[in-house]
Amino acid sequence: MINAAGLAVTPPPGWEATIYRREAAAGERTYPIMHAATVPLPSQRGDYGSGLVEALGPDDVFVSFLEFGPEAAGTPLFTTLTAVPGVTPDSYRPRQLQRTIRGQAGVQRFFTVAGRAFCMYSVIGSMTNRVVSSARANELIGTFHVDAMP
Amino acid sequence: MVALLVGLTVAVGLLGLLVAGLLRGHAEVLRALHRLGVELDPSGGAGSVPVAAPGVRPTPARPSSTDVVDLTGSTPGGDALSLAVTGVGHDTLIAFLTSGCSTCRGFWDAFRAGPPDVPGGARLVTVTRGGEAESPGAIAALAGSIPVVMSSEAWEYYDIPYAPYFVYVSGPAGRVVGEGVAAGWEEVKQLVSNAVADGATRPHTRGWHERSAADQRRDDAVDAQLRASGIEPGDPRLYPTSLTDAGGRG
Repeated sequence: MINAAGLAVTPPPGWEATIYRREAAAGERTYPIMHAATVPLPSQRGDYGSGLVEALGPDDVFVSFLEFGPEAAGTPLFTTLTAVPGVTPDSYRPRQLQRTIRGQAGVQRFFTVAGRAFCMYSVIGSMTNRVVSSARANELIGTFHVDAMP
Repeated sequence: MVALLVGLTVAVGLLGLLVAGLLRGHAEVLRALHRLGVELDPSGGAGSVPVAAPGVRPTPARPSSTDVVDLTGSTPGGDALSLAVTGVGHDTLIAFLTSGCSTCRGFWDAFRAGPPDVPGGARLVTVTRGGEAESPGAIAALAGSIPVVMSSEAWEYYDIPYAPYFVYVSGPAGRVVGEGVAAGWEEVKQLVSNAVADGATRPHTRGWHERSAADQRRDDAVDAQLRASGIEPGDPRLYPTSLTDAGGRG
């Protein structure tokens, strides 16, 4: 298990994971992000997995949890779901990608847990393998834990 | 006066015995280190040859080569990080380094100069002791683009005897296939290169993806030809989206 910033995750075998907080630019405020993937995490990658998703093979999965500010926690977008959401095979859509990559599919969910607002974003390497890949994603998602901010 | 002389003689004798004992202990330590493959004499040629042959070193803490765990700890920047070395398709070369040892400094410099070429395509990862034993700031200053995991637990689990120390883990086989110490990056590359050439880095694995030796040789030959043509894994030219692309006319 790894934990930081009140977030914890236990990567299943074959998964890599990190919990980080991007360095803030002037006037910017950043929040914790969790990245997990079944491929090696490259040192340079975007918050939504750019630089990593290009390396996904047909059986690979990427899962990220991005925290938003406390002001987001009370908004309708984030309060529809009040638990860490799992994924289903059909929740993945080829068009739900930050950048369309042939064969891949993504899913995005917004939720609030412990008073903290998150976006869950996941990409699978192949829409064809979505049944097995979504099960792999849920293995990881099920270990994600959020503590209330002190 | 006589008593003084006798006392001095006894004292000199005792000191002589003490010095002899220390020298003997020192010699035994050197012999033990030599047996482990560590050469402390800088004129002994350690800079030009590997000082330890690769191989798996059974230890009380890690009696089996399959005692492999993923690398979990923190980055020098304070992020939590877990890197998979087993149950994955790639191999990992783990460099256990410290910020203080002079030999490690050469490796830090080599790694900071740019991602080094690891024979066989293994992923290179650096592991230092955790924040209770190393300064994250000092490690951050030494680190380059190679992933760094600060984890005393990894040092203890892999039973690392000294630094620098290298462990080669086969991801598909889920086991350590080689480990040892070397004086410089070129020596490590040579050791790994030899192991790759011997096939030691691809131990036999059972499962759905088991391949025949002939298939593996064909794959290796194709990989070599592609690399010789400047085509590395992930190259877009390997994934044409149309016949025009495949023909190189796009």
